[in-house]
Amino acid sequence: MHAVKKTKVTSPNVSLGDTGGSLILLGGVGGLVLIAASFALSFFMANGITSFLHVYLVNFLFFISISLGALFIVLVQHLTKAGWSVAVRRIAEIMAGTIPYLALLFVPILLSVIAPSVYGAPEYLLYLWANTTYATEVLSPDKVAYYLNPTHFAVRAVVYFTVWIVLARYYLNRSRIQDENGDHNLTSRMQFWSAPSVLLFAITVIFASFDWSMSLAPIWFSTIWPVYFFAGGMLGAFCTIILILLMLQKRGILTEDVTEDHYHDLSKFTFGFIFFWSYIAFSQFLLIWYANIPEETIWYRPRLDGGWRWASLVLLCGHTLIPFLLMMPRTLRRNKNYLWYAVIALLAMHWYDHFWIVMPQMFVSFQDLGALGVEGMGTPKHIFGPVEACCFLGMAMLYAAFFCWEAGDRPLIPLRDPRLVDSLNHKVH
Amino acid sequence: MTPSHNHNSNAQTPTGPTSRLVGILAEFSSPDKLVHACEQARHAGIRRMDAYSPFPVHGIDPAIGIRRTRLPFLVLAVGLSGLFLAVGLQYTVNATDSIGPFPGYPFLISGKPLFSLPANIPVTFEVIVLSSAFAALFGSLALNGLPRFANPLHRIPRFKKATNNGFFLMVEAEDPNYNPRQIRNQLEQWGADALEEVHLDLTDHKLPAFVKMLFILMLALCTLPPALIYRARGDSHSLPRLHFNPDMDWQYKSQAQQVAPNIGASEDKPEWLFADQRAMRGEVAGTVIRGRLKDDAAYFTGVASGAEGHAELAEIQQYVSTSVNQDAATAPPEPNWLATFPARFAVTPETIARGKQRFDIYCAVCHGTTGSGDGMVNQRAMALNALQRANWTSAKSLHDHTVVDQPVGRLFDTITNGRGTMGPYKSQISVEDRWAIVLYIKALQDAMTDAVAQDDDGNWVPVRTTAPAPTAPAPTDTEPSAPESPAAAGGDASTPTGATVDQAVPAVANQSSAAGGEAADTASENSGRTN
Repeated sequence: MHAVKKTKVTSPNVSLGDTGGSLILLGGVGGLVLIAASFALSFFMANGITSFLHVYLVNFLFFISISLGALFIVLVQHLTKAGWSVAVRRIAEIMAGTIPYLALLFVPILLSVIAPSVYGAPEYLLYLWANTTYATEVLSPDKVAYYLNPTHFAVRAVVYFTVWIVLARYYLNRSRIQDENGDHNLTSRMQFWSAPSVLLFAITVIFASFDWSMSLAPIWFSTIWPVYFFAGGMLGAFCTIILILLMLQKRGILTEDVTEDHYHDLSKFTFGFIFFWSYIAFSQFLLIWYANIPEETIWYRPRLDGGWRWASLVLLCGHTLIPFLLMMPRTLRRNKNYLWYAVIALLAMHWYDHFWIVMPQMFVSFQDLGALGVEGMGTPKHIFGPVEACCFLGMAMLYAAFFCWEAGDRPLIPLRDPRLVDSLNHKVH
Repeated sequence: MTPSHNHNSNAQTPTGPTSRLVGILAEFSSPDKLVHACEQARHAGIRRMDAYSPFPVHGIDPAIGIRRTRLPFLVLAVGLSGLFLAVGLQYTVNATDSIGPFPGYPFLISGKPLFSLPANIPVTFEVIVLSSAFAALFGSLALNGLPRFANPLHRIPRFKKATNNGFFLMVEAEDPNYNPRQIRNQLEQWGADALEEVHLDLTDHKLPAFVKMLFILMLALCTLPPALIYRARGDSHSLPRLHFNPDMDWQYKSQAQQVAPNIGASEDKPEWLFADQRAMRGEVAGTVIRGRLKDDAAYFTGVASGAEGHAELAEIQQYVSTSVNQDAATAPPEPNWLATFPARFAVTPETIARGKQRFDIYCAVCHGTTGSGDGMVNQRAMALNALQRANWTSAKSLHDHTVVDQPVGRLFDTITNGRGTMGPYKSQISVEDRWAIVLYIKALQDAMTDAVAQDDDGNWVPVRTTAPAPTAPAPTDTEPSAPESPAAAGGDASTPTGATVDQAVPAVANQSSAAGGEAADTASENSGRTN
């Protein structure tokens, strides 16, 4: 009441400045080198390009889910006319703005589907349904003809990326134009379009999750899968926003305008999505486990048998039980030093979630193809570690480069948003 | 808001026997002044006070010095208790016979383990949520000293503004730093517009009459359920039970063996939902029930592929011929029985062991553990036969050459569909296990191949003398008068059987062992031994 109300941005630095340029160079070159190293290592320590593409898909899904989460966060802030989040919204807008660059990273995955039918590449690269023997002998002809075939897969991917890029660029560009002219009508228009945008987002993400991660097991299905994918992505997006803010503030950017109250609310959402993810993941598991229908349980079978059983327990403890307790206390949510560790651990778990989805399926696919008599299949010789590490670090550096490139030397906070004052004076009581 | 604990302090403020000073109420004109006054009061060392405003005032909590509530820990403790209660309850009820005086009810549901955490998590989760919510609600009421029947502040007319435009600070007389002389000046210094002492009326502390009545009424109602239960104990009723959920009790659905629903306008002119008037429907054309796909005729019927139709026919005829007397001339031709094990069945030591285990369960009771037809049931029945107290067809020795010579497909079919008085076992034994039993029977027979037995003259002769290895499938049309039925067997079966065995034609040997009747069995057994 008696505190002076902040009316405008007071941080000394609100943009990346010179640090951005060096990060773009380092991240871009280093990222490409590391991904190339991962590719090369895969021929010595794993099953060559097949292993590499699976690891690559894990990392691609990790980053695209985070950027999609960020896009949804932007849409929802406009949909709900949120005031508190304005100071941190630009970070999410820029993260969503990296989707065009992530579309480039999708090209290898697209090629893995198209290449076999065009160039006669190796039998099994990434998606089992792209293998002709499997498609003709196991999948029903309808399924191959209408959904899981390379052409339709490619067409759908183009549609998804088009929708996301249009949405991301629309919201980022309008917000930046507002930085220049302070036009309040821009906010009204963004609010107006947010509702149809959310619908478009939902439809595209549903089918993208089916296409990119559920179709790894072509005859398996789970109708809750998109929600599962989305829940993990939202968790990742909130963690990444916190992490980027912490990094920026450490470098002296946005030091005054993003307060621990913003961190508190972002952490609340993080906590919420920890539990939302767990709820969805457990619901999916419980229904399949209880109904006990072979065509559904087949997906959990490799993940609950042998060594992967422990891997699944790591997910249960690391993605649900421990973070649930450790993100609950208010004091911890407001503690920046603590949040560094918390969000990095949660992001690691989100990465591990995709790893747990994708990698066991490779072993299953090898066995399935071996059973069908495809030559050279049977038991893969994948060694976990260096291939994964190089690929993740490489793509993380590329993502950082994309972020810096998109951020440029422009403001990292919507300078003239009509609700900025609400956000600057935001207090969590 | 902090609760006002205003009991046990009569001695401190002697304001008369009829009332007691609770504190002093100060009114402020704005929320800012109220927050300021709160901070001043706290600096002056006053701890027991409370602020009242029409809306939540930001910053008032630290200004008054409200400590963090202990409620979260209460909720956590109750939530954890809910966790242990729910898991313990499910363990006690579902997974134990009894714990102490509490009876358990172990009940297998869909083959899940009795104590199975995934299934228990939803119940556990709900119990935790419910108990935590109760802890939060009732805990906050208890920590705030609620409910209270009356608050002395409500007796002050000015205080009504607290829900409209008044901002009040109440300093309690219980506070150690409460000085009746100073406090008025202090509050005025801090910006109070008006001051008023608050007294608790000690003369009128009776419960209102309606509260008493309500309480008594509730107590009376509480006795109703136990009284009704007591009355209904060991009672019997001739009236049908009450239907609280008619939708659930009379569902709009047809059940097995019911007539199809009448969708016509009246009872007189029925118009059945299905033309055949039956509610049960067959399989949809072009579909197969899960687990019933029989895509490998040899494996599922024991008939060499290309002759599946015969197996179907043989199966049906088998039932007919065991139930009605059937002319031997119309008996179906013998199918093209499989002579070797089907490709889908692996002949390994493991499957032999499996076959032995299944054989000992299903077959040995009659046929004996060595397959000699001396199972315990058979021994007992034969003893009863001797006393004229039973009419039992002796179980066949599997080392009889009529059985030894049978192709494996035929043995499989016998287990599947039964022969003569032996019943079908297809519903008890899985296909894989039936083949395993056949394999074990073959192993038993091989083990007995070189066995010898005494013939009627007392000479030791090998048990199996004439039949070659069962590789050649039976030509089905050489012996049309195979004694398939009891009628044929009972009359003249012994003659052709004996004759054909003498001629050592394996096909006929096969057919004779298919005889359904007692006489035929006996005859072939006898002929087998005497040869």
